[in-house]
Formats: sequence, structure tokens, C-alpha cells
Amino acid sequence: MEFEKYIKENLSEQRSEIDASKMWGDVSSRIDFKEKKRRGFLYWLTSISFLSVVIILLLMFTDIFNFSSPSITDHRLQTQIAKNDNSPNTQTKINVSDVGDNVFKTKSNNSLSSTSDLKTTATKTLFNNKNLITDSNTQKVSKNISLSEPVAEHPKININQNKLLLKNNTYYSPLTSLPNASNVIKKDRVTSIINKDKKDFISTSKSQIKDTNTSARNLELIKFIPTSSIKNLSHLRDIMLPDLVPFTISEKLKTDKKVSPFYLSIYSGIGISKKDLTSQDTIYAALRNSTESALEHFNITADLQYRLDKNWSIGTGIDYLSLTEKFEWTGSYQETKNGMYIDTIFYSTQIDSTVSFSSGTYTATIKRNMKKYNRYQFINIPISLQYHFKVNEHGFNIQPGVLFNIAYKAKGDYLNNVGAPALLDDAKTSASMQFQMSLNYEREIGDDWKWNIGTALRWAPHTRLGNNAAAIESSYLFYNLRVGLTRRF
Amino acid sequence: MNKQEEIQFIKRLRNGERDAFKHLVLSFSSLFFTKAKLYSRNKQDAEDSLQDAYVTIYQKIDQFHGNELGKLLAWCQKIVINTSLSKYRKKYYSHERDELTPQTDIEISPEVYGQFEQAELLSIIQLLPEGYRQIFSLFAIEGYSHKEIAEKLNIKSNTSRSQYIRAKSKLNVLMSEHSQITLSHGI
Repeated sequence: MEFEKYIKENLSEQRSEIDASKMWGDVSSRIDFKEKKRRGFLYWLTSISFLSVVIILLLMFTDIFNFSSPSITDHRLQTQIAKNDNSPNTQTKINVSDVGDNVFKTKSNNSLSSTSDLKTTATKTLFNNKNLITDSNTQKVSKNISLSEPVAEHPKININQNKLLLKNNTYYSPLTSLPNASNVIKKDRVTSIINKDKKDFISTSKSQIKDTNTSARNLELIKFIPTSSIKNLSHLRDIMLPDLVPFTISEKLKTDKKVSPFYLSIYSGIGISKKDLTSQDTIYAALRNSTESALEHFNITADLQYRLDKNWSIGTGIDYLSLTEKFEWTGSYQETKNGMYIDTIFYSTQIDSTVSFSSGTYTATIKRNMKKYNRYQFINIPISLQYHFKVNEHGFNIQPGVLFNIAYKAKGDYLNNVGAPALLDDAKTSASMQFQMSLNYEREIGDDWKWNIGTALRWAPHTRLGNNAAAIESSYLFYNLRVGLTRRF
Repeated sequence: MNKQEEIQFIKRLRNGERDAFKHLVLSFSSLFFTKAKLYSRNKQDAEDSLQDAYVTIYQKIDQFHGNELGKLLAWCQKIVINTSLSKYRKKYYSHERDELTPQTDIEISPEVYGQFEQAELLSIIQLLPEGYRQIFSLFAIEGYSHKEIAEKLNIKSNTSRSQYIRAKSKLNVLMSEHSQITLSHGI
């Protein structure tokens, strides 16, 4: 093999004499040297998809930001706790004159210990019982607390064992999500509040406070709406009443409606595609890649989902995907045919029949300048898993899935492995499995409907084109923007 | 051309700039023409194939994703070879595939091929019959295996192997003849 080694090393980069200027003259006359335009449709589609994702992320993070950093800095609270020692209802009056520290200190009378922490008490009272926010439970307790705000209407709240109700149907809960809340709690000196009759408030401790906070978070049907900021609270009191923030009861809790676990979704998407052909015959693969390019695709999916729990669901259905490809080739090829022929045959122009006829096998040189659009169609059965999550009122879902191809059809032209144009119809084709990952944003429309917008990335490897072509495989990548509707049954 | 210039050059090619493409044609036609000649019937066909290849390169330059000149040239050479082969290979092999019988490979002595300049050697290879020349070039110069050549030319791999052996044998004879001619002229 010395000879082969020598040849490869010495001749693979060998140059031959050619009139390059003449070649340039010939080539330049065949090429229209306008600056290549971007593919407008795909460019804009990609831009819109990207912008949509950015907007969704912005919405999501804006909400998170607002939720974790309440800015009610101007609220100067004047809190009154009215206390009645002789009755089960105890009121304590709290005056606030200074705003600035994280701790809102005031003096309370003897119904509450001077070291007592009303917040602690209220927290424990409010969340010790999971039925505390049901309208039916109206058991009275011995302590009423009234809060007043100079900015807003002075609300009056009643604390009972199970309920902390405001006039306007809002409730007070601990400020569990504020960043310094736990620190404040840890600094509290008092871990228990015992009323005279030891009925109204239940003794608690730091660890219990944490527990109650956790319980509060676990009450997933409650939406917390912070109305005050810890940093603006006065340090003149031990009772951190502003830590109690109003919340509302979600619709689900109010209605207590039984929800069906079945959902039907229809998605429709349009997007860009990428195709890569691979083969052991790299030259043939390069030829195919140089003559074929994937353009836009369209798909529609019907998906029936079964909700496993609050976050997870599984689904299946039917999926149709249509892909357009451009086939562009300029060149000539030889074709051998049996039949009647004459001396010279010009396939792409006309047949000159003036010369004598003969029968048998003839070979013709055919010149073609082809620009055609191929169409590939896939019908798949998707099996997907969905993870649903909410950021405030914004719903999202992530949906990984596998699609099993049950039908595949290709129509158009391609270059076969002898470099001649052939019809895709003639080729046996197959597409096995596709993988998809999508991210969707969803909003409810009424009780049973949702609309969705999202983006999906799909990968279809090992799509084989073969029998009368060289062994070659296509790998497709689809990226689309999709919208859809979901109906609950 | 340094690395930055290569990147700029390829970028300008992708943008369809006339000057960049002119630079490609003027600078590298001699390289591409060698490939075109090896896989074409004659010089005129090679020039036609090279023209077609340039048009294809211009149309498909977007599909080249590299940033190195070496890779660009290799990609262009593949297009040149394909364009040249696509014209003739089916017709040629349809006649030849059945008449071949396996032979034993021969080893050409370095004394035989070592006496020729590279250009001379290339000229001698050009004297091989078209079918021999294509298979010889694909195997010895481009480095394809017989299996790959078989898939590429739609022939059996044994056919490729035996064609190559015949081509090599024929080349040995041609080199010997050429050597004698040179010697006789030298005397």
C-alpha cells in the first residue's frame, strides 16, 4: 500500500492548469449576484417565537418579583386592639407613631401579656385548624381585634378560633412569604399567649410558628395578598399585627366543584425546520444536502389528557405534520431507455424526428434546471406527560413526549445515487419515532376552557429513504410556535 | 489568509458577495479542476462540470456551516466530484459491471512511480480509461473504501475492487511506457 499512500499524500492537493479568468467569466454569467435575501417568513417566525418566549418569561418573573417584594411602603398603620377583660371578647388598642423598623411594637394591655405576640397568637389560631376559613364555622372566640389604617378604610376584624374575617370578605393571614418574616419571628421573645380563661389563644412556640407557616403554604387554595411591608412597621410594639395580611379564598374553595380529570386539547403550530442527511457515502449525502433544504412546516394535534393530580397528567391522541422542502438542482445526467429512437435526443427541449428511426436501447443526455417543492407528511400517535404549574394566576405546562409514526408520505423529487433526478413517490420511505418537548402558557376562559400558546421543539431522527436509493437517513428538527384550546369534560 | 480573514471571506461568500465568489473562482479553480478532470470524460466535460459545481456552490453556500477555509475547500471539492460523477457514472458502469473477474493486486515499485513529478503522475492517471480512473481516484486519492465506492457508483463492492486492481495494473503499464519514452528521449 506504499503506492496508495504516496498517491494520496502527493496528489490530493494537486492543482491543474486552467484559465481561471475565463472560468470566472463563464460562471459569473450564470449567476445573479444579488445580495442574498433572508428568508423573510422564517426570519419573522423565529423572531415572533423568540419574543413570545421572552414575554412569557417576563410576565412570569414580574409576577414573582411583585409577589416576593411587596411595596406598600406608604402604609402607616394605626392599629387598635380593643380588649374587654370581662367578656370573652378582648380588645387591645395599639397606637403606632413610628415607622421604620421591621418590628411594629406597641403596648398591649393585660389581656395579652406584655411580652405576648399577637401575630403569633393569630397565626396559631388561624392555621391550627384546617377548617378555619370555611364559612360554616362561625364559632366565636373571646378576642376581637380591630385594625385601622389611615390610608384606607379602617377595617375591623374579628378573630375567632377558626376565622379572621374582615368586613369586605377578606381574611387576614400571617405574612409568611415576606423575606424577613421568619427573622422577625425568631426575634420574638414570647412564644405563647395565654388568655385569662386560657381558651382563646393556644400556646405556641417558635417551632410551632414555623409549622403553622408551613401549613399556611400548604393550603394551596388560599391566595395571599400582601398589603404591608415589614420594613415600614414600627418597632414600638411586640405584636406584629401588620404581619397579618389579607387573603382571599379561591374560587375552587368557594365552589367546591368536582373537577373531571379528562381534558381535550387541540393545538396548531407553524414553524421552521432543519434537515440533515447522513450516509456512509458522504459525497452522496453532500449532494443531497446541497440540493434539498427544509422550509416551513405545519402541524395540528388533538390530545386527550388524563389529570393524575394537581401537577401531572398523561395524554395521547393524533398528530399530523406537513413539511415543505425545496429541491433545487442544475445539471445533466445520462438516461438509458428501451424504445424507438433517432440519432440525437434532446430531452428537455424537443425530439428531432427528421433522422431515421431505430429500435433498441439508447442513451440520452438530459440537462435539467430544477426548482421544485417537495412535501412530506407524517401522521403520528403522541404519548406525552405534562407537568402543570402556576405562577400566581398564570398557568404553564411542560410537555415532553414521544410520537410514534403510523403513516409517512413523501412527494417530490430528489437525486438518486447515480446523480439523476427521481421521484420520491418511487422510494420506499419510513419514519419511526419522533421526540418532542414543548412549553405552553395557558389561561382559563370560564370554568371549562383554556387557551394555550407555546413553543415546541421536535426531533425526528432516522427517517430513512431507501430501496432504490443509497442507504441514507434524514434527521429532522422542527421548531414551532403553536396555539391551542383545551376543554375540560 | 489568517483565521480572521478566513471567517470574513466565508461570511462574504454566504452573503452572496460577487467579489468574494470571484476570489474563490480565481484562487481555487486550479485545485477544483484537478478533481473535475479525474472524474470527467475529457477536459471540456471537466470544465462544464466545474461551472455547474460553482453554480451549486453559490446556491448552497448557506448550508456550509464551518468557519475554516480548509473545510470550505473540502466541501467545494465534494460538490465538484459529485457534479462530475453524476453525469456519466450510470452509463459507464452499466456496461462494465458484468465483465469483470477478480484479479490479484499488484504492488507497484517506488522506483517506478518515484521517477515522476506529481503533475506527470497526474497526467498518466488521466490516461486511464474513464471507469478505471474514477475508481482509482476515489480509492487512492480521495480515500474511499470499496464499499463506499460501490454504494456511490451503484455497483458491487467486488466490482469496485477488481476495477481498481485492473486500473492499478494498467497504470503500472502506462508508467512503464512513459518511463521508456522518457528514457528514449533522454538518450
